[in-house]
Amino acid sequence: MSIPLIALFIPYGIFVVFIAIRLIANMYHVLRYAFLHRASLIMASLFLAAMLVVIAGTAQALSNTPWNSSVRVTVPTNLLQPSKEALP
Amino acid sequence: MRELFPLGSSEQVLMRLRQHWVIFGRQALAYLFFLALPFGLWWLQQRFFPQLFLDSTSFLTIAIELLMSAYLLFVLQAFFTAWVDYALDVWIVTNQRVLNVVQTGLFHRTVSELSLDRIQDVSSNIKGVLPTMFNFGTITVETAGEQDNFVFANLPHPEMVGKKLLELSRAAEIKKPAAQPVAPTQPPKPKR
Repeated sequence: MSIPLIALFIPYGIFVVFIAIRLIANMYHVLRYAFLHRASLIMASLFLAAMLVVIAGTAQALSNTPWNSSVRVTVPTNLLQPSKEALP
Repeated sequence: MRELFPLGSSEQVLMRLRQHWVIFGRQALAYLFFLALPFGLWWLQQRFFPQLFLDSTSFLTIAIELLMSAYLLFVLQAFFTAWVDYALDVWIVTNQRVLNVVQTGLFHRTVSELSLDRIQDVSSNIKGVLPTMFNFGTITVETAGEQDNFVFANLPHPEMVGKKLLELSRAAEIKKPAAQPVAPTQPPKPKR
């Protein structure tokens, strides 16, 4: 059975979009209510930078991945068929 | 800092109070632990099972890299949300009123308001080892009438803040214009 590698990235992409929406909501709160409050802006920048580092690190780690390839998942056939010894 | 609410023309902010930093510090420690966890596991794997994940293009390696990335992003955004929640929970005392702004999650904020002259009593409560060590606790403001009491938990220096609130309340009562004397009403005459 072959699984295209891109199938792994679709759920990850959906998750990143979900995180991005939460991040935008947080930034909205920070900028609306804590604007010009130095500590708030520093904290928000730190979180934003940390998330960007994680995404950049992931991209770097996966940079050698052949995107259009598939991985072959092999299932041992003897698990699917009973052995001759087991038959009466 | 831009205010969470519009101020009156003669209104001045006297105190802007947040929960004690220990409360957020405890949460932050938990989040830092969860952030460090995958790095610790990675270190253990490198030390004891270095032959694992050698092929960077294998299905398992890519899946684990993506899973780790998603986990870190999730913990980071939860940490950020916890911090925003902490930063936006605020108690503001002006020379006219007390405002209690409570942020619950990202999209739920409650703002309660109490006029200073409606304060009847203020009590403070410090309970537990950490609150006693760091001097923070709960302040309960009893109000006149049907309005619910104002409760603000984990406030630093609760006794000092309670005393100051009572002083402000007394001052507001003195400033309040005296009520007009009401003419005594005549009881209705019985009809014949």
